Amino acid sequence: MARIAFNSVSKSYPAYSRPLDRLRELVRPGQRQRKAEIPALRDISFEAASGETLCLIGANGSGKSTTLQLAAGILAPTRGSVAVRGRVAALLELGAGFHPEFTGRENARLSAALFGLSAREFRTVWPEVEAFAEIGQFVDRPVKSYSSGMLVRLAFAVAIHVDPEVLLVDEALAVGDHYFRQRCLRKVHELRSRRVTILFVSHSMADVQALGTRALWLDRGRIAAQGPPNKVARRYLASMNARERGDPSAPAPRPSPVSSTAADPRSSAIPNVDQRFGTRRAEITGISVFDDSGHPARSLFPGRLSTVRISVRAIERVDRPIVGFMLRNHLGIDFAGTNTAREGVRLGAMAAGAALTVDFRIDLPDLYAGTFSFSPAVSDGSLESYEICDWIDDAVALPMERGASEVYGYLHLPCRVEVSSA
Amino acid sequence: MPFHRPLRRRRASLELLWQLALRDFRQRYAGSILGWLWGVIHPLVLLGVYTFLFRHALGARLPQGEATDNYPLFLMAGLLPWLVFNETVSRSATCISEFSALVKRSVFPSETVPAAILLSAGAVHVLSVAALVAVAAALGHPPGPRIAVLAPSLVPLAMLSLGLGWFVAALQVYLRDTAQILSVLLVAGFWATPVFLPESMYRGPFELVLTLNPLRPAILGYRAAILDGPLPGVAELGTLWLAGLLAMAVGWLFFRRAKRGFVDIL
Repeated sequence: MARIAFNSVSKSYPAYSRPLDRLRELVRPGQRQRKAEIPALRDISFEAASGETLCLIGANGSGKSTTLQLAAGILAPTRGSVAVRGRVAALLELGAGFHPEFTGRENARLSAALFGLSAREFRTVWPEVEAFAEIGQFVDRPVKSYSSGMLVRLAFAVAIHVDPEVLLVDEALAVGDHYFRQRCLRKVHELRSRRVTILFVSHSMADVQALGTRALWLDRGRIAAQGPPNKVARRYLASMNARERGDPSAPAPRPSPVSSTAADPRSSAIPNVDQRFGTRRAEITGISVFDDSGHPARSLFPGRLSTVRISVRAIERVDRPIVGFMLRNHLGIDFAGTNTAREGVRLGAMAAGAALTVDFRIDLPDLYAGTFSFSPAVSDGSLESYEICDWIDDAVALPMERGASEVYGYLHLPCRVEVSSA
Repeated sequence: MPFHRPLRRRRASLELLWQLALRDFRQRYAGSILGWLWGVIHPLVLLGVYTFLFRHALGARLPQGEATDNYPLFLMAGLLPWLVFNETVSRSATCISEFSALVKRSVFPSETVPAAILLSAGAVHVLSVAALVAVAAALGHPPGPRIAVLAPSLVPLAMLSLGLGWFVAALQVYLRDTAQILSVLLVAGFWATPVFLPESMYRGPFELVLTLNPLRPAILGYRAAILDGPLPGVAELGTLWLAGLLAMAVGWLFFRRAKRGFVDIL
């Protein structure tokens, strides 16, 4: 049974020169006052069954948010029909619908009432909501004093605790710290196993591929593709990349001839920390990237040797340490990664306080020009089962220089061409 | 399943109405030690000030034939119903933009907001009226059977306030000058209603204003009830009820229609 069904839905926003004209038209529908119609969605049809997680992807202004607002019943379609069955919880933009002057508790109660909960039902779920949102004594302060992370935590906590049958999420997971994201993702999986239908918008292809059972790519108000998340995300990224390549606005900086600074035997700096998590039984103490002549790299060159040096220190005893990193591209996609275990190198057990430095010598393939980041990690365990001790998101970011020849797509495959005249 | 949804919606609206009204009422006295007692104290202090001002300083006297010769009591009995009307309508005018986040991001029954304002203002009003009745009794106007006229005066007054409240709330979204225009109109309306001045002072064209004023029967009803004065005629009360029902109907229909554009404008 389809929980969400869009049947040839079009939505356009009429444009008026002033709001009063809009009112005139509402009061006397016969007389058109609008200046123009701005189309947002054209002839969209799709369904989402119970238990399905449908991701909406697309550039800004492609109609993703309009689609969610239609599904939530906040907007009415201009043409076509939208049918949604069951209790709907919606998280549209930041903080869902919160009144800035009301406290967190008051807003939660208000949202719960809007989702159809009685006062008694609210009282029973409130402790869980409060525990999940983790906003401490701020619950009794006006939400205008909240950080964006707190707003989204509270909104998400309410939405998943009102026992929804349909959950609509617009980019809400983009804010909030790593831990909260992890908890949300777990909750989303749990909701999915309870056969909740989820419709969500995301710019993170990693989320799309991790969460989606199906993806729908909207391009300027039309469905460009729908199907398995992997396939749709790939096509979407390919088209984005094609668009970007024609854009000369971001030239990579030329490398300056650096005078030699003798490569430290140990790396002791972490240039950047976007997010950091792990048990901290061991810690990353530094990461650096060197070019093929052993100088700290200012940029990466396709086809050349680079060294990624990661230093770690054990805080407690670590029996089977694994050190590795993930290379991400400018879209935040995990592009390539490796670790000592994967490369067949066994590191011995580390006693508390012991330090270790690992050099990864990598032959960079012919990659497209763009910014790449390295996220180092140290874990304890094996490839199959491990526990992350320390993970730093995007610790080093470096531009990839344009190579001598064009790279079509993401990377150039090492290739020999043989031609036979037969 | 088919009726499940509207039923749930209605329950949600009622729950919301109750929450908003309760919060608004609490908010008035939030952080104050005396709490809702201020609802009683405020009119009493006002009464004391008026008594000093009009009786002792200015020596004002009411003409014969009014409900009382105590001018401050006369004034307060007319002022209280005016205040509840004034507050409901003027606060409704700006209430939708206050809730814009909810209007834009949830299926929000915004028509409950003016209703919640009315309920909260009404609660304060009931407290004030109770205080006034007690003081009037102490000053020689014990409540008689005519106190029963309060109900048929208050109910249509509330309907009139809510109907107008809906109307201005919706209009304000489209026309930002509404609240300004309204505040001017309310000042004019105050003097067109026999609150400060006894009816005998409205002469010539002003007499017509008085006859056309739908609030006048409500004021008369309050004075009759609280001061045990002359009752308003059936025709007068009938006009008040008619005006109340009409305002509710027009306000509601206008709000429902205008609501469709809220999401786009806010």
